[in-house]
Amino acid sequence: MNETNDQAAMRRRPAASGQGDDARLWNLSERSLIMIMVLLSLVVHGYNMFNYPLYLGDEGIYMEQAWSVVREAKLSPYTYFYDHAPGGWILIAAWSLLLPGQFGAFGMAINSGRVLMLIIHVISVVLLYRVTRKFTGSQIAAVAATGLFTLSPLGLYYQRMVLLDNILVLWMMVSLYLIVFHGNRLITLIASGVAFGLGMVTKENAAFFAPVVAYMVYNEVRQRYYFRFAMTGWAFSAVAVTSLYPLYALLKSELFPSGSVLSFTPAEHVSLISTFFWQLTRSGGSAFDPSSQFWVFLQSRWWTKDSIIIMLGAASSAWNIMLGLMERERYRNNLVAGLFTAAFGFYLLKGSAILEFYIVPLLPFLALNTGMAADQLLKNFMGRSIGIGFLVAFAGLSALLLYGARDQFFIDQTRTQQEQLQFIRQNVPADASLVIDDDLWVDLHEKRKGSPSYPLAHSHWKVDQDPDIRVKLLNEDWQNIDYLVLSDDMDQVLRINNETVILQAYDRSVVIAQFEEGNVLLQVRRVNKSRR
Amino acid sequence: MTTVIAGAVVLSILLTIQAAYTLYITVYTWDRPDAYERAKAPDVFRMPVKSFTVLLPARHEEEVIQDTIEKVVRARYPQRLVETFVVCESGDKGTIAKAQEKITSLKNQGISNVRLLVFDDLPINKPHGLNFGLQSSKNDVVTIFDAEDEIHADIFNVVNTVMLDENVRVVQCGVQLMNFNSSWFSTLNVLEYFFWFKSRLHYHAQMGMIPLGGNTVFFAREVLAQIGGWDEHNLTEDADVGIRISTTKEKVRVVYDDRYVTKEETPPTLGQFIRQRTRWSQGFFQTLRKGDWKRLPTLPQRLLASYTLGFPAIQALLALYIPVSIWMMFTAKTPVPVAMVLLLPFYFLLAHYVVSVVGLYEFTDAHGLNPSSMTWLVMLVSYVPYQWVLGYAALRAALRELKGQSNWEKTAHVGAHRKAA
Repeated sequence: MNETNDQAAMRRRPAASGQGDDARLWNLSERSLIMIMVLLSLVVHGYNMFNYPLYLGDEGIYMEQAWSVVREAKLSPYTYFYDHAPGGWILIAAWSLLLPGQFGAFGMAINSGRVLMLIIHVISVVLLYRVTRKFTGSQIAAVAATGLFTLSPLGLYYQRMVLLDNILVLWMMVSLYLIVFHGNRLITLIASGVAFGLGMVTKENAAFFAPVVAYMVYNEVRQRYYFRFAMTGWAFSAVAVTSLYPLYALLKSELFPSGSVLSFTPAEHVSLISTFFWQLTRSGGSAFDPSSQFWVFLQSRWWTKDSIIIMLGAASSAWNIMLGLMERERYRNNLVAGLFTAAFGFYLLKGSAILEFYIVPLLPFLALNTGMAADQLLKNFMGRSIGIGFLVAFAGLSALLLYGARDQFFIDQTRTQQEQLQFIRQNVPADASLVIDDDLWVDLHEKRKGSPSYPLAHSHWKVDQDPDIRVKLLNEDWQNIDYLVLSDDMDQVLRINNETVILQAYDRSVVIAQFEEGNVLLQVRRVNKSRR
Repeated sequence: MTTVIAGAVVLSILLTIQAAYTLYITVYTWDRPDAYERAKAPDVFRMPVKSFTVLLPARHEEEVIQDTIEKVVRARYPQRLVETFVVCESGDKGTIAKAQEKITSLKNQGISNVRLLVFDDLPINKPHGLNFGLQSSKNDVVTIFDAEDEIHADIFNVVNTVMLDENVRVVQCGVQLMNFNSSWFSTLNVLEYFFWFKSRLHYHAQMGMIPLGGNTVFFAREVLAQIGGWDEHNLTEDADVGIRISTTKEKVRVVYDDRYVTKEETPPTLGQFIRQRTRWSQGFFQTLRKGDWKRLPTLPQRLLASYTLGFPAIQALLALYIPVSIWMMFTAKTPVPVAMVLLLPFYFLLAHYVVSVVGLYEFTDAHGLNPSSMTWLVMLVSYVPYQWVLGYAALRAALRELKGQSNWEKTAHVGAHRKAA
């Protein structure tokens, strides 16, 4: 029988064909290049990762919520008020269940989360490599993108931390990977939609990627006979998984604000929708305001850590979008890559409240765009000596990046937190009432042989804001606080937020231990109740 | 209460698994490029070689039988290679008269390969008529068309080519209900056919366990002889014959090419529709009880057979599950994770609905039809009631089977698809 064009097209292997051959590096196989990038990322991200950076309060929050999932079958040890979707720490909880010592498997509790982050990063590197390779057919682009992604000091700093944003990056990369390697199967595209939905229930700002991912699916399937099923299948599975989050709230009667017509319970309660609108009202300052969070973080945090990925990534993204708009058919993938940066860049710039690590989901796309642009540039200007040119550029840039990230490898900051914990365990009675930061929360609550646990150690955020703790437990009286365990700069945070009860206790407390490293200063203070 | 909830959770998980599985085989063809390719009819036909015997079992089909005979004899295939038997029961004077009239008029035009076969023994049903016709057939391939069928003129060329090219002895071609906007249930009924023939049967063929359709199915005559023809005590003799053929490891080729489908109509009234469904469900139960499927060679085949034949029972269960679980969610104070599990089947129900809407556009595109912009809404409103109707028919079938009632509740045909076309 005659083979139709359709059949021939279907049989053609989608990957590694076409333009790929002219951009191979030194005849190394795909597998060995990926192995090299994996080893590189393992070493760079893994080395010294328990010691640097300092355990962040946010890391502690996700760990304590994962702890609550495992130990209490709840989404948070405190009242869960839908500040974030729970997918991320449910994953951390599942991971902890797999570990032999669970939260103590790697010493400090946050360490086990950091090991998961390392694994997530390495998987993301592999997926980014494969996606870039498929997008461009070029090993140079793939190596450049993954190299920048894994060596960027900006990424290195945040990706070691237990952050929802890192988990989101994984789901995004899984979703993208399944799209470009869908192999004419609906089931793969449906799986991609599920992965995207998991991204959504990990961190809601994934929504800003949604139009671009949908466009990418469209690009992949638009002329296929399964087009309609592919688009709806992807979208349905993404929406279905995402909907589990509001469904959970609905079933708990916590979707609609208390007092509203649709709220069926008379009692005062938290609500997903209220929190959502509250988030909307939290402004980080307009994009045109140089004192907005975005510009402040850009200058004070991101740019100082790594100007290279920001510069190269932004320029390449703009370049890719331009190419794509000028010649859509030829540069479709460039357009898609550029739009990823644009979409999330828009989110960061649009003026909602952001934290410094919200830049994380942008990083793989800055790297992807840079890899794609670098490949084009090298091909155009280097001609035959492309391998040498690339090697020189890669080595030079790597050295620059690694130098920028040197603190990551040689400084031990978390030692102070370990010592602080040790001090508490040896000097503070288990029934004492402690106000702490979230970094030590799990370590203080987890029951371990040979060391006391502190069921009355509570996060200062909750002591200040959660009525269950402030009113019911502490009766809004500083005298019910025995000790203050201060993380770095926590005293300033207490003042900025005007955490009254804690400040009253603070004013009547004395330092009983202090731990320092560089400009990091931690304290343990005892509240002196005889002084009124 | 705890046991009720535990039971509901288990039931919900089972229903979710089966719904996911059914959903998958519903879109199987679109997921598998190879199956999609295989479903197509050949683009170039071979020289006519195979000879065909067409069985046209007809009972009370006065209105449509003449058109049907006309369609068969006008097919693009050499007359000498086709013989057509209109099979009637002797009491059915009306149909016999109409058929005879047509045969005479054809003879006057020099077409003499149509014969009327009349049987007067019991049971009076389709499989008996088929067996009766089979006895007189001489040609290589035996096929069945129903009296209301709108067949494609090249159907014999398609089958001739497929049988020669692929050396298969059993070919099932697509059958498609067409009148998708004639009643509230017709859209969903049309789409059931669409997915069944376009997708699901390919999965069955791949698995080697296939309940065949009642018409536009082609058997090498020796295959039928080998298995002893149709079961005259089965309400779904078509599905039954498919399963018995599967037990002999005979390969079955399914062709669903939008261009060559045999066009049919949905039953005109809800009552007719329920009777038709009751008959099918009861036939499936009979086939399940009879147990020929136990002789299928592999365990996956046997599981698929029992799942397929027992499906009407699941349908009834699903129809009951929907109201019961909704009631439980509002009355019983179930923990949130339990409630979420109870809701899982609804996600798949919704997915089935969405797939149906996509299927509607696939179907109408393929046949140059235009759904109204509100069809999806009608489908949304009627989706669950439609499941209840199917569930009701299944319950009715189960009761009839238990009471030992197995008379044939025949479906009326008014030729709506022909007027539409």
